[in-house]
Amino acid sequence: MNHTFHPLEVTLLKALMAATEPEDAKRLESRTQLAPGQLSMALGWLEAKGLIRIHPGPPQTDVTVTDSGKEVIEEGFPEEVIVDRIRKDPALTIASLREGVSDPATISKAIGDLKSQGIISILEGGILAVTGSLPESLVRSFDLIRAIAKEGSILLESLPQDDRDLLEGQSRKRGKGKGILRLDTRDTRCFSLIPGLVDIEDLNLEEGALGAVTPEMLQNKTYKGKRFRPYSLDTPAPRPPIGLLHPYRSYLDEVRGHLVRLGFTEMTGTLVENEFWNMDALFIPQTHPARNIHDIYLIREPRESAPLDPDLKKEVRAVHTGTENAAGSRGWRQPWSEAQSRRLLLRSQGTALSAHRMASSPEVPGKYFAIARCFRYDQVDQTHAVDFYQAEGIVLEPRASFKTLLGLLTLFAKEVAGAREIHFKPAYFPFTEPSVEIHVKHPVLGWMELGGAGLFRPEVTKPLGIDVPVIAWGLGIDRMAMMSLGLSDIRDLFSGELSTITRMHEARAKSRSVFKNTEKGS
Amino acid sequence: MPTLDALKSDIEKLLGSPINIDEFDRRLDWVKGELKHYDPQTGTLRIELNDTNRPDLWSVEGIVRQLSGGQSASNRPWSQMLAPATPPKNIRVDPTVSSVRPFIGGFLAKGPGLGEEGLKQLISSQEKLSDLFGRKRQDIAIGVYPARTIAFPLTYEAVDPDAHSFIPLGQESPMTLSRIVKEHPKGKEYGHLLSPHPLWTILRDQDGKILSMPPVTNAKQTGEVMAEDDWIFVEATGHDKERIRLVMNIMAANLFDRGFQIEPVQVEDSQTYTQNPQPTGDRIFVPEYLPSEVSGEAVGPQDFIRALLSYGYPSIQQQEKGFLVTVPFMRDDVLHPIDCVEDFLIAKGFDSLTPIMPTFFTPGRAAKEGELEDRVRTLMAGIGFQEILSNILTETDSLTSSLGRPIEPVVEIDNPISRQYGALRSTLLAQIMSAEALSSRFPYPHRIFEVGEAAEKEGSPSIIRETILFSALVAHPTASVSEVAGIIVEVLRYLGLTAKLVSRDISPYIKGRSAEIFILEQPDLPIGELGEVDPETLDLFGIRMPTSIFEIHLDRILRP
Repeated sequence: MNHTFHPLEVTLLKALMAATEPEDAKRLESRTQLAPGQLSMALGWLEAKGLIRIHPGPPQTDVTVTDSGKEVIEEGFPEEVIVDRIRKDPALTIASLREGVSDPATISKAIGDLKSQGIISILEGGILAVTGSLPESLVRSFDLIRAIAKEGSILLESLPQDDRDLLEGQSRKRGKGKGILRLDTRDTRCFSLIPGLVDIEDLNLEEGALGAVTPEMLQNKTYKGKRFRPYSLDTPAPRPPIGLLHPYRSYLDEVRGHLVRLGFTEMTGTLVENEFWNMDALFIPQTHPARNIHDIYLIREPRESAPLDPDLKKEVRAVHTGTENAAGSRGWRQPWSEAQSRRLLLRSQGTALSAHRMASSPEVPGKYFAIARCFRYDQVDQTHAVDFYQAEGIVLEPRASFKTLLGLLTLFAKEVAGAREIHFKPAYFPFTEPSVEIHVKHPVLGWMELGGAGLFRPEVTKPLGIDVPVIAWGLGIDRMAMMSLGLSDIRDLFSGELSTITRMHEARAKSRSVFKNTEKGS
Repeated sequence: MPTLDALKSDIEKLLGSPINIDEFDRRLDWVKGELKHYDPQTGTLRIELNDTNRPDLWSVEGIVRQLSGGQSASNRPWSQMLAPATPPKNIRVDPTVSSVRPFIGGFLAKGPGLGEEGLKQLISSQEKLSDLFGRKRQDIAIGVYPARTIAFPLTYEAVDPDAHSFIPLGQESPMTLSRIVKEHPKGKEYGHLLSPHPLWTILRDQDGKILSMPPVTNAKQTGEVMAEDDWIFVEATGHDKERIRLVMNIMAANLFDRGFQIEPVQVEDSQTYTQNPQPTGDRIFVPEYLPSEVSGEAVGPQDFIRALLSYGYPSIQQQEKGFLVTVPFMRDDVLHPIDCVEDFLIAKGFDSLTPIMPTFFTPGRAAKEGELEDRVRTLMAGIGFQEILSNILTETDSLTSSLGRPIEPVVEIDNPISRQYGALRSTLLAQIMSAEALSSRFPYPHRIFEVGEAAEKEGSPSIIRETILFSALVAHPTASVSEVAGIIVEVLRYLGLTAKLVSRDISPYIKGRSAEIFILEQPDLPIGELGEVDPETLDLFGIRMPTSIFEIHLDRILRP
C-alpha cells in the first residue's frame, strides 16, 4: 500500500508506533505535543486511510450546574436555609418560612423531608425546631455542587466513588424538570496503529519533501530539482468559518416575501402595548381568562399608557358594556374600566397591530400583514418559547365574505406552506365571527394546524370606524419553521449555540435540496 | 381552554348509539372541540374545547346535546324539564350579603340516581363553571348538596367570621369561619374572596344549621353528593344575576339529560322574587340579508331556518325583514346576529362552501425599518458573521450588574414567571456574550451578530422607548477592538455613512479600549459604542477567549 503523509500524520504515526497499548486523545496529545485540533485532524486522516484501529474507551461524564441550579446556589439549598433560619429564629413557623421565597413548594417538600429524617420537628402552632444535624453526605454534596458551579464543570470519573454516588443521587433526586445538575456522558475513544501497514523508513523519507508553495520559493526558484510532498485530497479538509443569516430569520424573510408578493403591506408596532389595543379594541372582555395576571406580562414601570383617545374610548366602552346596542350588539354586559385598559403589557398577540392599523385610516380595499414578536406567559419548554413570532394580518374589502376568507386561507396553505390537502374547522376567537382554523396535511407528520382566521366582529370594526368586512388571519409560523429546520424543540430557534445554528442551516439546506426526493424516507 | 375527561360508554349511552372514534373526532368540529386522547383499553377520552364563550358545552351532556341538534339525551322535550312545587321552596337573602356576594340562585333535582359517571360529570361541570366561567369562584361559585338533609327555607346571609363555626368538609371538629380560611385547604385557596369584608357569607337551613360558606366550602354534615343520590340541591352565588341564571340553566339542563326532574327554588330578596332555572331563551333579530352577505352566496330563508333548527335553536320565526331567532336557554353567547350566522355556517359545514379569491388588486410593500435591517444583515453575513437570534425577555442582572450598568433604563416585568425572563433587553450585549459562552466548543474564530428589537425607559415620569439594536462580537485568540472598529466603519460606509470614533470609557470594556460611534452626517448624538470586553466580565459570562463587541442603535440612523 502506498500512502503519502502530512507532517502531522508523520508525527502521530511515530507516536503510535512508540505506544504499547491503545491510547486516548489526551495521552496522544501529550506524546505528540500536537494541539487538540491538529491531533483530531491527523486522526481523521489516518482513520480514513484505514491505518488505525479505534477502541471504545471508558465513558466520560461532564457535570455542570444548570441555570435553576445556579439560582438554588444563590438562594441557598432549601435544607440549609431551613435549618439556618430556624437556628436564627426560634419562633419561626412554616408559614413565615414559606414567605418571601421564590418557590414555596420546594421549601414545603424540604420541610417534609427534614421532618421525616428527624432533623427538624414541627411544634405546636407550626413553630419549627432543629432536632438533629444535616447528614454529612448531604452537606458534602452541597459543597461538591458549589465547587462545580465555581469550576464551571468537572469530570465525574475524576472523583472518588463516594462523591460520584452523591452527585448521581442528587441529580436523580431533584428530578429532570428543575434539576440542579446536568450530567452529559460522552463516549471516549482510544487509538492504535494496525501493525504491518506503515514502514518507519517511508516516514523518514517523507520528511525531505517540499510542503507548501511559498512566494519566496517562487521568487528564488528553490523548488528546482526537489520533490513536492503529495497532498491527500481524499481526506476531509477543515471546515471554514462561514457567515450566514440566521436560518429562522431567513425563513421569516421568505414568508415576508411571499406575503408582499401576494399584495400585502407590512405593519410594524411596539412590543409594549396597553390593554386597550391588545384586548379591548379586539372585543376581548375585561374578565376574559386571557387577561388574567397569569396570562400576560405586565410592565412594572411605567404602569399606564397615555390617556386614550376620548372618542375611541367611548365607542369601545359602548360595545363592551352593551348599554346602547352599539354596533348592533348586546355587548358583554360588563362594566368596563379605563384604568385597566391603559395598563401596559407586552404584546400578547400580533392582532394588536391590526387594531392599530384599522384605527388609522387604512386603505380600502387593503391587505396588511405583520411578523411580530409576541410574548407568551407560560413555563418555557420544548413547545413554548417566552417570546416568538406570529404572522398575522387583515384584508379589508367591500363585499368580502366567509368564502373570500376560505379562499385566502387556501392561498396561504398552498403558497406559504406548500400544502395540498386542507381542512377547515370551526374555531373560536373573541374578536372574529365566523371563526375558522385551517388544518393542512403534512407528508410525514399528518394533519396539523396552520393558522386561525375569521371575519372581525362588528363590535371590533365599527368602533374603529371601519364599514367594510375585514378578514383577520394568523399563521403559526414557528411550527412551520421548526419543521423546515428539522427541530423538535422551539427553544432551539432562539439558541445562541453555534453548533445548533449550524445544524439548522444543514437541515434547511437538505430540505431544499433538489435531490431530497431521492433520499430514503422522504 | 377547557378540557374534559369522559368515558366512551357514557357518551354512547347519552347519544343512544355507538360511536366510531375517528368519526367522533370529526363530529367534534360541531362543538369546536378536538379529541386529544383516547385509550381503547379503558375507554376514556379527553376532549379539548376551544370556545371559551360556550360554557354549556363544558360537559359530556352539553357536547352530546349539541351533537344531537339540541335534543335532550333523556328523549324528553325541554318543556318537561321543570316540575315546580306549590308553594315553591324558598331561599331568603339577607341584606348583609349585598356588599360581599349579593346574589344566589338554586334548584332541586329529583331523578333516578346519578351513577358513577353522572356524579363525575356533575362535579366536573361544577368545577369548570366555577373555575373558568366563574374565574376561580370570584364571579360564580356553584355548590351541590344531597337534598335529603336540608330543611327549607334557607337563609343566605353574611355573619361575623369569628362568632360562627361549623365542621367543614374533610374535618372532624367545628372551626370558626376565620379559622377555616386560615387552615382549611379550600379556605386557603378561596378565602381571599371573603377576607376583605367584615362579614362573610353563609347558607343556613330552617334550623339555623350552616350548610356552606359560599364560595369556600360546604359543611361536613350536609355531606357530599354520592353516585346513588337521587335528590340533589344545586346553588350558585356571585355578583351577576345573569351569570347565575346561566349556570343554573346549564346545570339543570345537564341533570335533565341524565333523567332528572327540576324543581325551581324561589329566591326572596327585599320583596322581589326570582326563580331558577329560567328555561326561556333570549331572542335576537337576524336581518334577512346577513346570512347571504356573510356566507358570500345566496341563502334561502328556509335553508337558514332549517340549519339553525338542526343546530339546536328551538324556534326561528320568519318576519318581513328577517328572522326572530330564539336562542337555547342554556346559551348566552349570542351577542350579535352574526353569532347566529356562524352557527348556520357550522351546521351547513365549512367544507360545503367553495372558496373564492379576494378580487381587488393591492400593491404589496415591506416595512421601511426592515429594509435597513436587511442591508445590515446582508453586509454582516458577507463579512463572515453568523447571525444569531435571542429572546427579547431576559434576566435583569445580565443587563445591569453583569455589565456594570445602571438598572434605571431597564424595563422590568411586574409579574415575571421566573427571574430568567424578568426584563426586556435594553442591549444585546448580554445575550450575544451568552451565545459566545455557550459556543466555546465550536471551532474558532467566532464572529456573530444580532439585529433586533429592544426597549429602554427614560425621563420622569418615565416613558418607554423602543429601539432596534445591531450588535456584533468577535472572539478568537487574536481578537481585538481594532478588528471590530474596522468592521463597523466599513459597514457604515456601505450604508452611505461616515463613521467617527471618539474614545470614551464605557462599562464593560477595558479602560482605554472603548469608544462611542458617531456619524458625520448627524454628529450630535452617538449612534453606538464599541470596545474590548474586560476580562472580569468575560469571566462572569464564562468566556475564555479575547472578545470585542460593537453595538449600534439602528433607529438613530433610520430616523434622524
